[in-house]
Amino acid sequence: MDENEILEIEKSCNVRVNNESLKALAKKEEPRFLSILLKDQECLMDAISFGIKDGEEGHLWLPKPRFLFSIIHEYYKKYGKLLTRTAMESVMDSLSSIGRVKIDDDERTTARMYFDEVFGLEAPVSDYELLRDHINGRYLQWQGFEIMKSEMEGLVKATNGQAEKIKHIQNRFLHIDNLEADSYCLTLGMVDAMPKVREHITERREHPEDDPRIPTYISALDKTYYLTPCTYTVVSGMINGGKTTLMFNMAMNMARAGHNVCFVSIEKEALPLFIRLTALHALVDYNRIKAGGKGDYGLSDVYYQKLIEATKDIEDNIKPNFDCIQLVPGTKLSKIIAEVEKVKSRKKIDVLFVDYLGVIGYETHHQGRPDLDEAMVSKRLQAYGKINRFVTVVASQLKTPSAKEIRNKSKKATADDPSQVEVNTEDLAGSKMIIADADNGLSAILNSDSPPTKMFVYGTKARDDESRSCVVLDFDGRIGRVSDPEFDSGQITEVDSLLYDDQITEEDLSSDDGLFSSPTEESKAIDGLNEDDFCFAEEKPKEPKEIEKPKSVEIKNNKKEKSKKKPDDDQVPEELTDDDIFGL
Amino acid sequence: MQIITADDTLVEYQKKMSHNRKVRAQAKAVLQRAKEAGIPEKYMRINKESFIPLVDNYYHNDVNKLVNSIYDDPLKLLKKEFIVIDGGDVQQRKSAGFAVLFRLIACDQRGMHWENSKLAHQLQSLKVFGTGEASGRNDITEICRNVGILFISECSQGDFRPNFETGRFYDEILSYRDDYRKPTIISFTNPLPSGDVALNSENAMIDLERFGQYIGIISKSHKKTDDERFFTIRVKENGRK
Repeated sequence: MDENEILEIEKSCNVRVNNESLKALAKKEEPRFLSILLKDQECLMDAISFGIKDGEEGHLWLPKPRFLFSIIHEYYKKYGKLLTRTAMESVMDSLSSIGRVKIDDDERTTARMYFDEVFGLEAPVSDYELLRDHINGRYLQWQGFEIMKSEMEGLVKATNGQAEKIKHIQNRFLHIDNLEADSYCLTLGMVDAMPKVREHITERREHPEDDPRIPTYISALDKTYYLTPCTYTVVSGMINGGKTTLMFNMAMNMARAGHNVCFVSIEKEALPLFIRLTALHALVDYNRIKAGGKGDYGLSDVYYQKLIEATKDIEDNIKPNFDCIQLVPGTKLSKIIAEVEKVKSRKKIDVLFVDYLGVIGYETHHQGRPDLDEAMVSKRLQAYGKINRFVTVVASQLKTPSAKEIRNKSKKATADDPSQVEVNTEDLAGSKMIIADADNGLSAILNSDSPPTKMFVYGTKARDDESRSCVVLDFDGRIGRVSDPEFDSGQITEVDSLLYDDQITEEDLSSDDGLFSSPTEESKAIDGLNEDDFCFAEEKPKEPKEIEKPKSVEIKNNKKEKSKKKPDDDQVPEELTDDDIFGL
Repeated sequence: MQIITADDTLVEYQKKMSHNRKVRAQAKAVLQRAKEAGIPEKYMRINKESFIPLVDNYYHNDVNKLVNSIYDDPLKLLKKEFIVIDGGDVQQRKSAGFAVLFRLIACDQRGMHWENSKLAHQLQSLKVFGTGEASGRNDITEICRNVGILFISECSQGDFRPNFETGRFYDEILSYRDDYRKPTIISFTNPLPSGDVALNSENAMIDLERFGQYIGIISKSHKKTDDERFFTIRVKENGRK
């Protein structure tokens, strides 16, 4: 029995890929890699945390390095130290067999000699990462080759069930070990860290514009929350409480600023989401698109044009930055990750939104504890985001009893005194581990106006001492827009002018029609002449209205009558086209 | 409102549209809040021009100044602890009270109106009224303490029955509101005397056990001049010039 026979546990494993140059490279690199692991503990720790595996199904190609690495690995796991020459002797002396092969003194001597040979190699530590990546690359190549070898014939001969076969192969490829190496794992000593800290501080001082965080572009939020890569943010709220709207606005703002956003929607379909996005961008009531037609409640020419303009703007300026993945509720996280991976394979992702945690299918089963299953989902998602350096934002529900209490409190809150609004970590539904592990926790609560005009965003969890503060944002539910507050709390002169104008009814305020201009003196003079509001200011005739605008009067009267009726496009007379109204 | 023109670019349009929508949404929210506060439709949106004829021009030297301070500088009014209305008849007092309540709600506040007779009755009763949010007198007290603007209308001596605890509940409400600088509008059915005359006037509600300390202070602190805590409005009888 020669030395190779002793150390080869399964001969077949040695023939991984029929590629002699690859084998030659392995012969050269593996001993050098081991030489570093015998001398440098940090590299050994990194190799283990990186996922370099021992054994016949492990990373190393050749039997002798594989054997030595097994001993190094086992010894480190047991004693937490580097394998020394004397330790190697003791280990060898204590072994009576390796696998099914009994070993004698000669073989022990051979192993010791191999240790000396490897230890004596000149291998600088600086080569470590290169060698590690090459070894990992060959390991991946072998796994991929094995899958193709075993599946190729079945695929070629398949006469039915091809989709299942492809899915099976795809699934096997997704489970290739160490394909996504744990780049997040790092051990950093204080001595090594300090120069980096100095560099970072200087860099921040010199170039404050190179901010690593990805702002939400809602400045009130950005003051409190630092959404940097690798952070995990939980947006909580009541049912129909604006969680998705807030996330959607954040996503849209980020995409508009050039960051790559991937929005996973497990509740809503992708196309309606994009329609909403367009409505949001064009600031057109989403219900108009739903209602359809060209009538007062549908898409008049001006709204239609703005929507089309918005789609083109999105297409030209934002499109490459926003991807939406639609999935059915109950979809497991592995599937979600696989879909995100597809997007990632095409381009870099900066921000990942998942709407929402509660509807992701569980892959674990804790008897009677679905909250733990949900926590596991959250943990995996957080880890995935960290490894890939995403800003990850997920939504979560509030507990029903808490939601009721918070709703009552929010009724008393006003923009200048939002102190009544308070959402604590224990108010979130599911396991508290979700918010405990998260970097940021935002809670979105709408005010009690009908429809809501403000969104209170409470800092359930935030960096340093910024939590437990409440930010007040403007909210427009009809277009699904969340934005920075435009007016200071208190007197708003423009609001007063609407409130104390007898000509403007509450119904007028609810309708979008008057948005295109302020009521002019001329329009006020004509009793109830609200259709004037439709006219663009530049095109509004200055001449006496009773002579110049008979059509407008007619339109107004028509509109007043119509407004009391149920919206029905069929009732819109011919003369009510926007060409007439806008003079376009 | 910002005027949107046909030549506006998408960005300009977005900016103006967003602004206009916010203004209108806020106006609508104010109307909604006014309804929730219990302002009847006929007393809603009383403007400056309609308010001027309500004010007693014999009592107030400069009616326009008074009205301007309500309509043009409501934030100053928000800092007053008590807005006292008296004189005139019930319609006039209600109009003035609701107009002020609406004016303050329009400053992004929330408000509530109580008829004094009803409030006093509920506070002096141990009964539980329904199962809603304000089912007992302690709940009512809590709500009245915390609401942004409270309007207690038609306060009269007859509403406070002797030997009941109403005055104490009023004190609890008004003391809290006074401490936390929450404006309270109170209208009195009888014209209030001013200065030292108060002690001897039959209209002053100075029986502290019956009316509570705060009603006592308010009813005898009627001042024409600007006061840090009080703002007084005397309305005139309907039809008087």
